[in-house]
Amino acid sequence: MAYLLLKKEVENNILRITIQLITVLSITLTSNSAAQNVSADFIEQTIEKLSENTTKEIDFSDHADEFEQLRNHPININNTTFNELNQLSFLNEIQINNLFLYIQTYGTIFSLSELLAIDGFDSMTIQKTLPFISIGSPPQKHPIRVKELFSYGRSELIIRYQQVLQKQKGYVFNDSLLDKNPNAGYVGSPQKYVFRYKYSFYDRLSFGISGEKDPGEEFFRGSQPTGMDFYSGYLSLTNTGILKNVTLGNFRAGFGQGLVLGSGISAAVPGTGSIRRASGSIRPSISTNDVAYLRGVASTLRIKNLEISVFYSDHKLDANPINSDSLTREILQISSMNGSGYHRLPKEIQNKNNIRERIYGGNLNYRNNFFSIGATAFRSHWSASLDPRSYPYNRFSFKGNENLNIGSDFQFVVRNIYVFGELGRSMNGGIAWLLGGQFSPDPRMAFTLLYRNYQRNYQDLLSNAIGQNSANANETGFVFTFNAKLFPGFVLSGYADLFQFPWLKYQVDFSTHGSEYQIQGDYSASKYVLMSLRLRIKSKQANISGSQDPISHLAESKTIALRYQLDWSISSSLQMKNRFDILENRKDITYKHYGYLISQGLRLKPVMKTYSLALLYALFDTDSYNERIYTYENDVLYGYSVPIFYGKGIRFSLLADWSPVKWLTLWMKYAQTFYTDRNVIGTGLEEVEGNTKSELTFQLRFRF
Amino acid sequence: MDLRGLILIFLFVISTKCLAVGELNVIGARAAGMAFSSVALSDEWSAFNNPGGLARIKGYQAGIYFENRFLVKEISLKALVVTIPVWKGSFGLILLHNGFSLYSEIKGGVAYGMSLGKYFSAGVQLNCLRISQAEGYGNKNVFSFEIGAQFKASEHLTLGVHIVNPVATRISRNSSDRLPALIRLGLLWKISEDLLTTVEAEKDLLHKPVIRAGVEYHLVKPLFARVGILTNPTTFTFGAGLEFGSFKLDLASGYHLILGYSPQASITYRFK
Repeated sequence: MAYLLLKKEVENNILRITIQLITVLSITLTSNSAAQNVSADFIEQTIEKLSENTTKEIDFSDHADEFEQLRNHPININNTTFNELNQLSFLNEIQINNLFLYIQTYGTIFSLSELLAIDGFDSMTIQKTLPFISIGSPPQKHPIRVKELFSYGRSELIIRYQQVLQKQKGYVFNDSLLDKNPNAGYVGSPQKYVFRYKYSFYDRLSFGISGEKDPGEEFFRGSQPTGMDFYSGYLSLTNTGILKNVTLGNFRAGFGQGLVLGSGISAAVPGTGSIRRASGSIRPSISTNDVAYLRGVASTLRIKNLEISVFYSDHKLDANPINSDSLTREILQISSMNGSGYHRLPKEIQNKNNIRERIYGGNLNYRNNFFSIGATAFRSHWSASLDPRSYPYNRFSFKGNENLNIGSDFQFVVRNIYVFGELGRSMNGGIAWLLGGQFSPDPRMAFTLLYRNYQRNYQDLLSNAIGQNSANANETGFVFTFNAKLFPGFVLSGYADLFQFPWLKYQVDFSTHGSEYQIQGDYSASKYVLMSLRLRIKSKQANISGSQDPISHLAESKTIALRYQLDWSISSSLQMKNRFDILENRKDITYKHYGYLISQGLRLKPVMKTYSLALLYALFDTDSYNERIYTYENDVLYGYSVPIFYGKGIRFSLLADWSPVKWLTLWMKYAQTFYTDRNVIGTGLEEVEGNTKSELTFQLRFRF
Repeated sequence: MDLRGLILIFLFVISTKCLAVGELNVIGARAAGMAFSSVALSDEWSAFNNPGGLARIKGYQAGIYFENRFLVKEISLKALVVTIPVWKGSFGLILLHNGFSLYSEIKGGVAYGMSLGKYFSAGVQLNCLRISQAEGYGNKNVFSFEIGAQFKASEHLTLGVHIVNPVATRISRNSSDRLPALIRLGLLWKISEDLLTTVEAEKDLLHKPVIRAGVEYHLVKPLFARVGILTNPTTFTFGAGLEFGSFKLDLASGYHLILGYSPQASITYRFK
C-alpha cells in the first residue's frame, strides 16, 4: 500500500514542475553573470524541494526547451502581452504592471538601461531578465516554405546511456528461481537509454520525438518489439493568423492557478519562490515522464483579447485490474491507475496500457494588460471503473469511470497590489477554491498571502495547485511569504504555511493539522562570495507506528533543518561551492535523531575552451532513512539529479563535457557512493551487494 | 595524579573519540589559542592545518610545537615543521609524534601549497602514519593524503576548506577501521587592523560536527591575545603570542570542565 501511495506521489510530483524554476535554470546553463549563483541556488532549492516528495527522477527537459526557445526569440518589451511576460516568473505582476505603465506614460523604451528607471526593477532583476527580452522592431514574419524549412530549421538530437555498474539483485537470478516466482528478476538489461530529437523553425513550426528505456526493461525484444518502452512526440504549428497554436501529439495543458487543470505547467510549492503560478496554456511536450500525460490534439485561438483553447487526449495507460469480464477479458474494475512507468517485471508488463483514457475540454480566457478572467471545463473517461480498496481514508477519493471538472479563475493588478483566485467543482459536487494577494509596499519587498480550501470530496486527477497533499483535496490552509532586500547585498526571505487536513489520510486516522516555516538570509560578502543560511521547521501529525494498541494514537513529528551554503567565484572559470546541513528529526518525546552532510563542489569552465568539469565530494552521516538529506548534483544536459543521502558514507561525482566541434557535444558523468556502515545497498530487486554503488552516464548531442 | 585517575582520563579520552587512530591534530599554539580554528589561517603551521595556506608563506621557516593534553604525560604531542619556498608557493615538511611507549603514532608528511591567481591558493599533502603498539600487537604504516584551498575574497575576508583523507583509507586490509575522513570549512574575518576572528565547522564521517570560533587581538607591538571556544566536547581556549624579530613564541591552553587544562607551546623562526 505504501508503494501505491509513493506511486501516487510520483505522479503528482512529476506534475509539479515550475516554469519559474526553469527560467532560472536556463540562465545558469547559459550565462556567466553574477546573478548566476543566486539563480543556481534557486534552482537547486526548488529541484530539491520537489524531489523530497517523489521517488522518481523528474524530466525537466520540456521546460528547459521552452526557455531555450525564449532565449532564441526574446520577448520584445515594446510589443508584448501580460501573458508573455508572465512566463518570466522572477518578475512579479506588480513589476510587469509598472513596466506597462511606464510604456504608457513615456512611450517606447529605446534602451534596456531605461529599465532601471521603472519602479521595482533593481539591477539583479534586470540581470535575470536581460537574456529573455529585447527592444527590437516588431518581429519578422517567417512564412513556412519548404525551402526555408530546410535551410533555416534547427535540429537537436540527444542520445543518453546510463547504467549502475554493480550487479543489482534484479539481474542476478537463475531459472529455478524464476520458475518459482516469475517476478524475481527483471526481464531486460540494466542499461537506460534515452533519445530525443527536436526540430524547430523559428517560432512557427516544431516537431519532436523522444524515447526512453528504463533499467530492467527489454529493448527490441520480448515485451518491447518497438524498442523503447515509452515514446513521446508532437508536431506543433504556431502563430498563424488567429491560430496561436495547434499541436498534434503529446502536450501539456494548464490554466489559472492549476486548481482545475494543471498538467505540468508549474509547481507552486511553498519555499520555491513565488506561490502564484504563471498562467499557462497548451504546450507541446516530448518529456519522457511516462505517467499522467496528455496525447491527442490541442489548439489555442486568439481573437483580440480573447483566447479559446480546446483539447482532446486519447491514449492507453497502466492500471491494476481487480475485475474483468469473464468472456471478453475486458477489464471492468481497477484499483489504481498510472503505475510507476516501469515495465521490468512480468506483473508490470501484464498491466501495460491495459485501459484507455479519454480527456477532452477547453478554456476560455479574456485578458487585457491588467485584468484576466477565465473558465475551464474538461471531461474524463476511462474504459474501466476505478474502485480503490475501501479504507476510511479514501472514502472521498475518486471512484467510477468518468468525471467532469469545471471552474473559473481571475487575476488583476491595481497599483502595487496583485490579486488572484480560482474556484473548481468536480462532478460529485466537491468544491475547491483559493484566493491570494501579493502586495509590494516598496520596490525592495513583496508579501504574499494565500488562502486555500480544498474540500475532502473535491476530485480532480489533473489539478496541481499549491498544497501539502499530493492531490488538491482534503486541505485548508494559509500561506504567507515575504521577500525583502534589507540592505545592499542582503536579502531576507521566508514563508509560513499553516494547514489542516479535515479528513483522514494514509496512516493518519484523525483530522490533523501542521505547519511549515522557513527563513533564509542571503548575503553577498563580496563580489565573489555569496553565503546563505536557511532554517526550515516542519511539523505534522501521524499515527504512532508499530504500536500494539488496536486504537491508533497520533504523534507529532517535527523536522528542523539548518543549512549553510557558501559560493566562491574564484575566477571567471573556477567556482567552488560548500554546503553544510544539519537536520534534526523528532517524534513524540522518545525519538530524536540527526542527519549531517558537508560537501565540497568545484566547477571549472575555462574561458574560450571547449570543455568544462564539475566535481562534488560529500560526507554524509545520518542516523536513519528518516533523516535523509537531498542534494542537487550537476548532471548532463536535460538530466537532473538529486541524490538522497542516508547512513554513513562518501559521495563522489565527476561530470565532464566537451564540445570539439560546434555541432557535437559529449557528456560523461561518473558518480560513486561509498558506505562505511553497510555491506548491502538498497532493497528489493535494486539491492547491490557490497559497500559501493556507482553509476556511469554518457550523452551525445548533435545540432544541425 | 594517581594511576587510577590517569587511567580514568585515558579511557575517557579514548571513549570520546572512539579509538580514533590517526585523528587530525591541529598544530600550532596560535591556532590552539583560537580554539584550533585554523582552516583559513596562513602561517608555517598550515603545513599541518591546511596545505592551501602554505602559498602565502615567505621564506624559510622552522617551528617546534609541544602539547600536553590534560596534563597527562602519556598523551602529549610533539611536532616539527620546516617550510621551503619553491616557485609560486612553499613546501612544508612535517613530523608529529603522539603517544607513549605502549601506543604511539608518528606522522611524517610533505605538503605543497601554491598560488593560483592573485587571491586563490591550493595545496596538497602526502602523509605516512606509523602506528606503534606495545610489543606483540604489531606496527603499521598507512599512507593518506589531504587537499586544501584558501580564497582571499576581500581585504577582510578569507575562506578556507581542508579535505582530509578523502578516500577514507583503511588502516589495514583485514580491518574495517579507517583513517578519519573529514571536511573542514571556515573563514577568517579581519574586523580591523588589530582584530581578527575565525570560525570553522568540521564534519568527520563518523563523528558529530565540531564548530570552532576564535578571536585574536593585537594588544601592543609584540603581544597578541587570543581566546576561543569549540563544541563536541565544549572546550574553552586562551593564549598569547610574542613576536621578536624573526622569533615567534606562542603559548595557549584549552580548558575542559572535567578534564582540565591542556597547555600548548610553539616557537618558530624565520631564516633571513
